[in-house]
Amino acid sequence: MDEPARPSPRRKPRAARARRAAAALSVAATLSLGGVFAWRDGQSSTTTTASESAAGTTRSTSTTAATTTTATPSTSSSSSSTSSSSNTSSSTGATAHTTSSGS
Amino acid sequence: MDTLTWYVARASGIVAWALVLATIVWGLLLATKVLGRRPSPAWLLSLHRYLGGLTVAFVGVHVGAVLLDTYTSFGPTDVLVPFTGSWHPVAVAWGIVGMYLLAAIEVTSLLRHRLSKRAWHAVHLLSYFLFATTTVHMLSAGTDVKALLASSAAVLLGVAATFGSVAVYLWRSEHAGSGRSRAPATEPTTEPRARVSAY
Repeated sequence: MDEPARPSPRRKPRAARARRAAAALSVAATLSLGGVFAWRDGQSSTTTTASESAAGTTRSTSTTAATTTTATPSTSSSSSSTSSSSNTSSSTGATAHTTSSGS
Repeated sequence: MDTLTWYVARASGIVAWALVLATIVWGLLLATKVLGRRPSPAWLLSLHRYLGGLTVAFVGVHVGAVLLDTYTSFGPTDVLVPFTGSWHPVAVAWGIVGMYLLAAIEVTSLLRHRLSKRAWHAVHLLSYFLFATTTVHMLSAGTDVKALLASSAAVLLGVAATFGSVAVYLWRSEHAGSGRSRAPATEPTTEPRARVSAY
């Protein structure tokens, strides 16, 4: 018959799909960003620890992890080349953890 | 486990900033109707509202993680009152101001039917200032912007948002001007563009 066309029955599922996608994207972005930060911090602390052990300096692992959280890759490489200057690498890669805890 | 809250705080902060940007972009698309009838304004409004709510949620996660973080040791006062914390007080103050702006925009949007359109719009325009404050907060307090990629991405997005807004505004002004010279709005028109410009 001459029924009036329904005002887009697809609209609601489409909006719901978009909302779900936005939420999933945000959560996925947070998780992946957190993962990348953790991986990068882990890489930098590992590099620093290796350079320290090569230089013969003794330092606890927990302290190293806390003080060299977000050292950039360039900082890590420079710290590995100048293995003895572990304090310098820690201060250049300083984060909130370094400054607040005072290492 | 100790560093988990710190990672959550950093990641959720960046995502919250991106959500602010996305919400503003969606709001601009909705207000200017630059995309025409597809996607529909209802869809855009629905997503704009949802992104705003999601931003509030992620700011909540960000502040909650900062409070739980044992290294920075922020208290409730430090995250609510500017310049009370010992860690980068100015940088954190930008974030606190942004949080209050976001709260004001969200609350006035929820109470829109009780406010005049003028008052609601005035508060809503603060979202541009909100984006500015959160960007300053991210660049000054964020420890990850030292990385070149994050810095350049932030700058590029900021530039794109600014110039995009100006371009959309100019397009809208020009289009509204040409729309006024057309046939009266009461007359049925075959041009969807004319109806769009009547907003």
